[in-house]
Amino acid sequence: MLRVLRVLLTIWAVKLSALAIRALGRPGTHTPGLIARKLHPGIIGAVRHPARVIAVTGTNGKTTVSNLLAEALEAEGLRVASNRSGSNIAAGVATALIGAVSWTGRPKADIAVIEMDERSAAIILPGLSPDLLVCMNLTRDSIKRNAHPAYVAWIISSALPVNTSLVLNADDLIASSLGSESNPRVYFAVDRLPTDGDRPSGAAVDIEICPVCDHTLSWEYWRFNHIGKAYCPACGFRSPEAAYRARDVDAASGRVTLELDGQSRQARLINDNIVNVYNEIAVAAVLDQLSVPKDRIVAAFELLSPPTTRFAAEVVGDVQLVRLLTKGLVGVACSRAFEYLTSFRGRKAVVLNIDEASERSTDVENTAWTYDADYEYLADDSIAQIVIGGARRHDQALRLAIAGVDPARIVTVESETAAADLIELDGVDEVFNLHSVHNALSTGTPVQRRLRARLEGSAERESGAESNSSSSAAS
Amino acid sequence: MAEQAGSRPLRLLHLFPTTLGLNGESGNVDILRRRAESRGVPVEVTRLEAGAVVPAGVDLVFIGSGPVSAQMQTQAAVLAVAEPLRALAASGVPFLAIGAGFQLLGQSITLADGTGLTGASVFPVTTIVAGERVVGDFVVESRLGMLAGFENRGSYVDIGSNAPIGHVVYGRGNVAASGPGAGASAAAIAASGATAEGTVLVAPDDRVEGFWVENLIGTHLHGPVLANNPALADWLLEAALVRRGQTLPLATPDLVEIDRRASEARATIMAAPLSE
Repeated sequence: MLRVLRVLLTIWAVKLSALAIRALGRPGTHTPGLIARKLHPGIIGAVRHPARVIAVTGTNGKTTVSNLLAEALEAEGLRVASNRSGSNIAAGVATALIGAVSWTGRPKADIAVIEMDERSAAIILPGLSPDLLVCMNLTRDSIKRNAHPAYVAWIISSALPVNTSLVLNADDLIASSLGSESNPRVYFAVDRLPTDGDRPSGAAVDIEICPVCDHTLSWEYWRFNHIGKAYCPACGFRSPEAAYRARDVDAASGRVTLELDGQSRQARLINDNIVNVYNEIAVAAVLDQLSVPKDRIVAAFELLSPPTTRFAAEVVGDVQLVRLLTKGLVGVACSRAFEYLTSFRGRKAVVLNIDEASERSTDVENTAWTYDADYEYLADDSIAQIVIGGARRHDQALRLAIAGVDPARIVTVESETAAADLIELDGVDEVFNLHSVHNALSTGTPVQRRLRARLEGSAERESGAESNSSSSAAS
Repeated sequence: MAEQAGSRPLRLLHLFPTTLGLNGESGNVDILRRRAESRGVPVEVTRLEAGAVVPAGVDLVFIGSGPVSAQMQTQAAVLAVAEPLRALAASGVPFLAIGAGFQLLGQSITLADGTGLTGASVFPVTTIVAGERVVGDFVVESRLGMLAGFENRGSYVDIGSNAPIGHVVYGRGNVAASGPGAGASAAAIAASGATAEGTVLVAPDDRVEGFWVENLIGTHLHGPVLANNPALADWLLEAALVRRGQTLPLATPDLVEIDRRASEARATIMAAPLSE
C-alpha cells in the first residue's frame, strides 16, 4: 500500500512540476523526470506502462525511427506515449511514462515508443522492460563518453530483460549480436547497393575479424565502417539472414522494394540518404511485428518523412536549400552525411557547424573523432565553398585541409549563425546547412532561416549579388 | 652525400589498428602518409594484426590507443612480435606510440585490480592503472616547440630517469606513481595554478610528459597528435629517411597551408586550456 502511495505521490509531483514548468513557457520534458527519479529511483519500472512498450536505441537513427514509428502508430488510431520531443536518458523516459498515465496512475496510452540513449540502457531497460527493442546500429561515438561500440553492446545486453523481442540490424555485426538465446529476434537489412564494395574502406572500421574464430572477415557487400554483410571463410560464421530487407533503392523515382517477412511491396522512399533507408526498413519491421497489415505499412510511408531537425530540403528561387543533421562526435554519421551531400549533382556551398563545442569556455571536447570521419568526401570539386563556424573551427579547417580540400574554398568564422552570411550564393545550385544535434535548434534553425531569407532576396533581385551581409551575434 | 628521397617507398608499420584504433588514432598514419607523399616520398603502410609477422625493411612504426579491454585483448599479440620490434628500435627505426599502445610497448602494466600485463619492452617504462581519470586539453613544451592536444587517461607512466617529451604546460602528464608529482589529480592540477585564463601558464612543478629517447617517442597526447603538431610528424619522417641516408624534402605549399591551420588549432587550445 505504501509502495502504491509512493508511486502516486511521485506521479503527482511530476505532473505538478511539469505544469509549473510549462506555465513558464518551457517544454518540461527533463526536470520533472529528474524529480521523479529523486522521489522514486525505480519509477520507470513502478509506473504502469501502456499495454505495449517499444524501445528504440543505437548510435544513429533512434530519433528518426522513434518519430516515424510514433507517427505511423498514431495514424493507426493508437494513443501513443513517447519521449520524441524530450530527452532520451532516464529522466526523459520517466517524464514520458508518467505523462502517459492519469492522476490515479492508469495508462492513458495504448503503446509507448521510447527512444533510449544506448549508454543509459543499464538504468532504463530493467524497469522499462520493453516488449520489443529496436537497435539501429552501434558505431563509435564520443570517445569521452562511449569508449567503444562493443562495450556499449555489452551494456545493453547486460541490462536486457530475457523476454524482450529484438529487431536488429543484420548489416551490423555488433548490433546484431545483442541479447541472448532467450530473446526472440528478427533482423532487417538493406540489400547490396551499386555503391557497395567487397572490402572495408573509410576511416573507422570497428569490426574486421570474425567474432567466432578471429580470422579476417570477407564481405558479400561492404557499405561503410563495419556495416555490410560479412562471412568468415575459415569457420563459416555469417551475418544473420534478414526477414525484412530493402532492395532496389531508386533515388530517381523515389521508390524502394520492401521485403516484409516473405512478401514484397513497392513503397515510397521516405528519403534517399542510406541512413534513412535503414530507418524505413526498421520501421516497417516493427510495424509488421506489431501486426499492422502490410498494405497499411506501405501506405504509411506515403506520408512519413524524417523529422525536419534531421533533414529538410526546400527550393528557394532556383537554389535547393538542404538542412542535414551531421552528428559531430560520430564519425560514421558524419561520413554518411558528407557522402549524401556529394550525391547531389550541382555546384554546392556548405555551412559546417559540427564542432560539438558550443562554447570554448565551458565545453571540454576533443576533435579526434574528425579523423574517424571521411572528410575526403568534401574535397569534391562540386563544392565551391565551405564556411565553418564554431569554437573549434580551426580544427575543422585543419581536418578539411588534411583531407585535401582546396584551401581557397575554406572560410572560418567564430559565430555559427554568421556562417550563413558568408556563403557566396553566386552560381550555386545547392546550399547545405550541416549542423549537429546539440545546436540543431540554437544555430541550425537560425542558419536555415538566414539562408532562406538571403536566397529569397536574391531571387527577387534576379541577380543574386548581395553587397553586404549583417553579422549579428550567434544565438 | 644524401640520396634523393623517393627511390623506394617509406615503409610504415601500423601495429594492431583494429584493437588500438580509437581516438581517431589512424589519423596519425594518414598524416604521415600525406606529409611524405606531398613531398614525392612514396609510402607503403602495413597494417599488422594479431598473428601476422613483422615485415622486412620497416622504416617507421606507429601504435595507437585503445581501452583497457583492447589492451588485454592485444597483449599476447604484442608479445608475439616483441623481439622483432625491439630489433627495429635498436636499429634506430623511429617509433611513435600513443596511449594504450605506448603502455603495451613498455615493460609492464599493472591493472586496477592488481593484475600485471607484461609488455614488449621496446620502451623502458612501466604503467600503473590508478588514480583519477584526467580528461582535458594538454599542452607540452618540447624541443619542437609547444605541442597541443587532448589528454584522456587513468594511469601513471613511470619513465625512470629517461628523457620525457617535455615539460607539462597544461594537463597532468606522466606523474610517476612514486616520486615528484605522485598522486596528482585533476583537482590538484587546478590547485597548482596551471589553469590559465587568456594566456598559458607554465605548470609550477616538474611534471613531464611522455618518453623521447633517440628515435623512440611515446605519449598520451591525442588529437590525433600529428594533426595538431605537424612538426612532430616531420621529425619522424626525417628520422626515418636519415636512417636510409636520405633527407626530407621541403614542405610543399599544401603542407604549409595545413601547418597554418594546425597552428591556429593549437592556438585555440593554448589560449584557454580546459579540463573536466
